[in-house]
Amino acid sequence: MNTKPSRPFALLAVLVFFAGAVTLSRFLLKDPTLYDPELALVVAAAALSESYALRLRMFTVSIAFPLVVAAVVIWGPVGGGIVAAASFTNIQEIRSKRHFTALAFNFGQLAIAGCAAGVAYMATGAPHLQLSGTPALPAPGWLPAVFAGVVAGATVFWLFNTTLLAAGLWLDRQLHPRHVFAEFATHIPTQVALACVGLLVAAVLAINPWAFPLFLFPLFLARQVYQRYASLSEAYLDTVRSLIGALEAKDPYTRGHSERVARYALALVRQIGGDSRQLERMEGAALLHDIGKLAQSSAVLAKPQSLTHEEARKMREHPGAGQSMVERIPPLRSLAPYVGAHHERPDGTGYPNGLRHAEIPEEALMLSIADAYDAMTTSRAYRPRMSHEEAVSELVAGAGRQFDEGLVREFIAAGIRAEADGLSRAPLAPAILVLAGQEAAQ
Amino acid sequence: MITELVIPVSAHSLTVTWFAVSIAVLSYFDIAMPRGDTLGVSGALSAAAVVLLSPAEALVAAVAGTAIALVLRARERGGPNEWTVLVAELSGLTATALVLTTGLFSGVPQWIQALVAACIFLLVELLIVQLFVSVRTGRGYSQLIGGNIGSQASLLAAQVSAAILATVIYPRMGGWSLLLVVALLLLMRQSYALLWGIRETYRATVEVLVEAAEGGDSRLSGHAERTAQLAREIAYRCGFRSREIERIGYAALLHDLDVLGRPAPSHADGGPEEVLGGIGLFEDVIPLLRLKAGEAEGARVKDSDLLAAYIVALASDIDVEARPELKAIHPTDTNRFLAHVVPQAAKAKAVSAALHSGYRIPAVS
Repeated sequence: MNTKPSRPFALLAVLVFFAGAVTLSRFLLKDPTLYDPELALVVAAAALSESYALRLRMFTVSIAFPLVVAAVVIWGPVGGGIVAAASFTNIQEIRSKRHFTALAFNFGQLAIAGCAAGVAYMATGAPHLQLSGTPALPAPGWLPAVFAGVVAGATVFWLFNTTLLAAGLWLDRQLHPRHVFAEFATHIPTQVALACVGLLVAAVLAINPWAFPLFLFPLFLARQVYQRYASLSEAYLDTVRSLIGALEAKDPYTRGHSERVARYALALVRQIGGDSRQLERMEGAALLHDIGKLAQSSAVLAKPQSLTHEEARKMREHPGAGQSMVERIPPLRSLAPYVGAHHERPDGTGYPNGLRHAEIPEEALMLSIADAYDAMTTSRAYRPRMSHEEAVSELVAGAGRQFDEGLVREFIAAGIRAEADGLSRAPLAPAILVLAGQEAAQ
Repeated sequence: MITELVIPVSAHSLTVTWFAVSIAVLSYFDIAMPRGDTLGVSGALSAAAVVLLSPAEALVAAVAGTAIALVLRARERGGPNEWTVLVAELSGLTATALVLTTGLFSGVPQWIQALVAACIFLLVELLIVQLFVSVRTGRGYSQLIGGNIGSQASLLAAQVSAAILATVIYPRMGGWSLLLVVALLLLMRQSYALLWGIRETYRATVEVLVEAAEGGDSRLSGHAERTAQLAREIAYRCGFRSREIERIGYAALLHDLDVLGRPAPSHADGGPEEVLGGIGLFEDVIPLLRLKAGEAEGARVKDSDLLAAYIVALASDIDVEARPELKAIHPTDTNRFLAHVVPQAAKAKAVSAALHSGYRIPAVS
């Protein structure tokens, strides 16, 4: 992506760059004895690691974080600052001369975060393994002694790192900071494990620097495997969408139905202020809401006349059948109740279970509106399509009985229109920014 | 040598406890695999224990740790097969201790001892676990070993690294150092668990969707899943590796998808790209489906791909032949394009594998 950064972001990048450079210089001037070959080794590893950072949806997670922790423990603020700043270098990015502003921003914010982590570590009184050329090898009681310092240092690093990134993303792409913090929160366990690995690196460097490469292999392996997981995980909903689309093609009247319902439902969730997790849940549920219908005979689906009693009974089984199918897909199990209840009505006259308003999950109520709106605004074998205005009138007429009244109001307020293109799935932030803890993906 | 193995656990009970707890934590998080074996990372610490403690202490720590984890897991999952892990652990430890106490390694740096110990331990553990799997499933032992080494080589190497790291830092830092090694190993384990989980999710999703699509015609119901099972079985017997078997399984599962997704079902037209194009996971499956559909005439195709596509077609035919109601609507494919282009030896291999699995083979040209 070669988008030009916004002016406010460029201004922030300049400020952060200079703040980072000044902070780092001050610590460097205070401690001019930093010429350990081990530091050069760690800096090189940090710079190299950036090219192997994990590309995730909103950022990438750099595996340089353990190196920053190790540097803080061994060399204090200046070590943390240098190693963190070194991890801004992504050779490919520099070669391609793209995102110069983002590179400057990342250098600055990482230097600040690294130095701040070192200051926090020292403030707890935790001992350094090696300062001013005096080695202090870790002893049996070393780990408990540095524990508080590492917790403080890592927390401060994450705070600076995530806050500055959130500010950058907000100014550059209007991405609300809470999305950045929410995304970061999902990686906290991994970050804690990486902090422990950082301590391991520090211990290994102090005891026997030759053993340093031994830790790199398991870490890179973990990164490699996790990257494959992340790629598959991110492509999962797209895969479901493609397969559902392919299967829906057997009925010309429902072709693209689930995709459209997903768009309407997502617009509704955004309208009521739902977060990224709710959006993700709703997208999955909407794509799969009619999976039970796929198992119905094409002849019944495309029948232009009224269905017989038996056919109608079978058709009414589709939410339950869909619920059972979705329950068989472990990570989607939580969506099964939404699929099973998307034909339930607040007045209790829906199917398959005749649930009343309070018993129906909100997601199912939203699905019901999106599903009905799409059904009305597309042609079916037994009737032509309605206009947007007619469909909205039907929704309003059914509010309180067939549909949740408040959600119908929100649906209308969302300005959803059947033909509108503006409702296409909004991708989570594209990539520019680079971070050691996290970075925006390419 | 033997006396060294039975030296009672000395006063280092705290040290033994550290190792036992660390091994218990790692073993508890072993990933259960479908064939009944497990993917674990505790071997690194068991091997390090043999180097750092006396053989008896290492044995106590490893067996106690593994047993605790298995008891806790058995309560949750009720998997009696997992006790084979304990047997494998014991065997690995004994073999490692025997080798290290021969005198060959006296005076050798501890990190080299850890390297040797980890290699021996992991190898013996693999041999024992796969022996159990082979006996239980009737699958070829050498093939299981080959497949496992191929697919887990990097994980095994990473465990060897971790074992050496443990021996580097333990003598100076004591038991606390194990916490750090455990964190590194859990990080690796977690990555594998996530990858394994998402692959299972994909498999379950495709199975559910294909089953849903087949539901529209009761005669087709279950055909794709049976074909996939058959194809995987034949592919396994033909010597394909796990990643290839997974690919063949997907191809078999999806071999009728273009038909299922068509407004007017017909086996005569269209290609799999139309339906599956753009889905990253299936990029390498599409060529097999094209081959099976006879759409790759004139193209340069790898022999292994031809055999894989032939296996999918053969598996589908076997299932169709066994069900007259299915035969009425589903054509058999092996007599067409593939039968002409697949080398005779490869065909014979696939057919023989199917026969060995006990299936009735349809007429093959």
